[in-house]
Amino acid sequence: MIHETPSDRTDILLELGNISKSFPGVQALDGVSLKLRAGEVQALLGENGAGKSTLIKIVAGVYHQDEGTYKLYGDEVTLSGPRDASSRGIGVVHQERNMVPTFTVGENVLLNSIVGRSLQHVDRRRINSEAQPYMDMVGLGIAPSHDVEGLSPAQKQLVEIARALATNSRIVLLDEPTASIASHEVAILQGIIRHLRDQGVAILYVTHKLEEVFETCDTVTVLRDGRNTGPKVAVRTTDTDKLVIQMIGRSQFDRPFRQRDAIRDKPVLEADRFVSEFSPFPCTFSLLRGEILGWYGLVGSGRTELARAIIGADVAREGSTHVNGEVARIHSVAEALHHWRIGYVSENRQEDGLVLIHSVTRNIAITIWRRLQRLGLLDGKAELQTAKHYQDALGIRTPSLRQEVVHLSGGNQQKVSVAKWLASKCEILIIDEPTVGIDVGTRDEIHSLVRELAESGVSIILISSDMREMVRLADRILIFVRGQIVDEMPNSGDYTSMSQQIMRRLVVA
Amino acid sequence: MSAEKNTVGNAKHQGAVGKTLLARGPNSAIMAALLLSVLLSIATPRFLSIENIHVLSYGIADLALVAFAQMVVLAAGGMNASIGAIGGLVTVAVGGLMEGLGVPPVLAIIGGLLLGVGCGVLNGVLIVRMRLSPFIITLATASIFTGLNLGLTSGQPYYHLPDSFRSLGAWNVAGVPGLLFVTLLYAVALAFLFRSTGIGRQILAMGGNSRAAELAGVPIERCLIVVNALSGFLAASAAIILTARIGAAQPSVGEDWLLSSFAAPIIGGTSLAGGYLSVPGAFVGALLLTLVSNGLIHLQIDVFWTAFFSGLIILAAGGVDRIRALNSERLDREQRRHALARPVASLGQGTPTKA
Repeated sequence: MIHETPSDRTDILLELGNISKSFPGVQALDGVSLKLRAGEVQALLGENGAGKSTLIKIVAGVYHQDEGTYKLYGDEVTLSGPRDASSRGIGVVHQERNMVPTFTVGENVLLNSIVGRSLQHVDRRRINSEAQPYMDMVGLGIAPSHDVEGLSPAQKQLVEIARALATNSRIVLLDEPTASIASHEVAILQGIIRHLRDQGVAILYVTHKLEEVFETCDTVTVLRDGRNTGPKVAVRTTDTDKLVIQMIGRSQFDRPFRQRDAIRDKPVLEADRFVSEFSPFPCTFSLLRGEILGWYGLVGSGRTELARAIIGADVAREGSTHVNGEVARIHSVAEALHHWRIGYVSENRQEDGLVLIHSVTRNIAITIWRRLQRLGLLDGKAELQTAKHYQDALGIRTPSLRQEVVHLSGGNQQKVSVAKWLASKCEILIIDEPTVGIDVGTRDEIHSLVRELAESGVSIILISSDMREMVRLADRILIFVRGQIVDEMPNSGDYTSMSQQIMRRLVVA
Repeated sequence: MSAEKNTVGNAKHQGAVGKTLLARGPNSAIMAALLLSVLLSIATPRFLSIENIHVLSYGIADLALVAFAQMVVLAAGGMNASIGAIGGLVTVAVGGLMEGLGVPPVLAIIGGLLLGVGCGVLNGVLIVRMRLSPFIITLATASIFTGLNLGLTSGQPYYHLPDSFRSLGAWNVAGVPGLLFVTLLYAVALAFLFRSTGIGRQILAMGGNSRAAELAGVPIERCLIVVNALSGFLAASAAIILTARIGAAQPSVGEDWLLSSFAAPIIGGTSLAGGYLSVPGAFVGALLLTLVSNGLIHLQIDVFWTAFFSGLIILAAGGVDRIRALNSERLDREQRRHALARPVASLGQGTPTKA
């Protein structure tokens, strides 16, 4: 049991009190508290967007909290940045790999100290001998002089852990360390974690996978909507069901849409054992007319990759797609759009969706310039009318249609993204994470918009990692795990039962 | 909504001069050119003489075209290091056709323009097919074009061009060199192309964000080839105008174009990152560079200092560009703060969970 006595209060290495952090339009953390002791392996659980990564980044000095206290080894501290955190004994293994691909394994392990001594002579032999003990600790059986290029994902993961150890960390943060490695390698990782714990290192372990919590961790903290769902509990006093319910909670502020009878009379898009460059597992599904087909999965479960291949942005390898019963071999996005009337509202508005330095009008009209021109000459009036029409229809708030979209808020940028596909009169629309980074009010508007589109006969594939959004909008849900469609379920619209059903399917996969 | 209005209001609160200077586009270049002209006319009376203005007009006619040739590829998010080399090759081709093969000037000019387009298409196709950066590709083709040029001519100019061709260079309309009108015609056509045609818009969208443009169905590869062909065409035009003006086809044409081809559009506000161009800006940028070299002559400073002052101007233009970017980022941050204020307020009212 977690019971505090004055004597063990001294071995609290990290103590966060009421940490809050907001980003434009999003309250990422709202009064989160956390205690981490020497020799403790604590799991940090939560859905996508619950605030886990933000919390890790605050501990690691990447972000600074807006409010709340950060105590390290008993003293309140203000970290100046990631290097400060590292010099105070906090080692971080981020979810994404952070390596210098042209350096050797040894250089990557000692990267922090190499970077620290800019004017000293870098002695390769010394680096190799200094890196070796840390590599031994994580069981990396390769030479320190080996290039990191060509290492397996798991080996790279171990290099990163060795690096975290090389700074003599007393606290190690692992952000989804098993996301990119195979199951037999997970066992090695667990051995390392136990070894570290026995040496008194405190470990904060972020994961989505419940079985790892039970196998590896001592205690568990669950976040939901940027808040603690309750006090930290000992792993042996809880079980899968309790944790799932804690992670999901109840839908508290979404007005549910009424259940509807979609038109759904015939399939408009069918994929049959479809394989592409970046989605190596055969995927089979069909999308019915006027349906909202939800694709649920964790971030990185291969949904975007499949979508990109379907619209011809990535190369298809095997299998086939049919649009309205006709075989569709789509080689380019232009073809998907102009011939098959398939549009893709990208996940990353700023990088893939919008030409930020161009005006609202130009961003909306980009898909229809081809139609608006006669002998190469654009009909500027028609362009402006189209933009005006969708500004009114979607309620895009901008001082002028000539305003550059870079100056609009996230929600309005998203509406511009959607508007350009509506303008192109798409019949099939793939919408990827439509409300990430968007405030609650606008989120509601975008949900209504998606529903209205479907009602009007547009067939929609909705990619979302937001459980509420999924249950609220989808007619039918496909579950993606590591690039494969593992299940299909009709959506009852009842949040509690649906979310638990989906979560179970994910955590046992 | 009010948040957006506020931010736009803030921008308006800046001083009028500051705002004009920082607005994206050629304003700062125009002011610099005016200032420099006033200073030069005070410093030396000969600056405003009819002869000198004539000399200036000639210089701008081809330099502006060189600037346009780089401007279009910069706006498309690329660059072209082979503009000078295309110019050199086209020069000797036109000279060789007329002097060596006796081809009539009109046909020789058309041949030269086609050669320029061909060189540009080659650049475009290589960029599309090899998927290397435009810098590497055009550095290589520049060397190939220059090598062809010097290999075929052994560096010997064609001095005996037909009189009808040479008279083009001396052509005057109301005391203004006719070739300057040709350049102005190009400027109008380019402004129209990028403002009012589908392909022009697509090229700008590609330059602003090629991934977004591709996902919106813009034919990226075609745009790349078209814009490089256009760049080659403009470089060829500059070379032909210069040849007509000099009255001889020199293989060394274009050797000194690289610096000014970048400097003039950048001074004029064309974005190095792509997605935006200003035709008047590039023109004024070319004017400014011409004024600098012309002013140095009048102030009796060694012409070898031209490069030094051109460098200073580029740095100054780059500085204005940077301030412009920082200014825009600041506006953005304010915008975000306003945007943030809204949802938090609505959360407080509408959701029991946040109570």
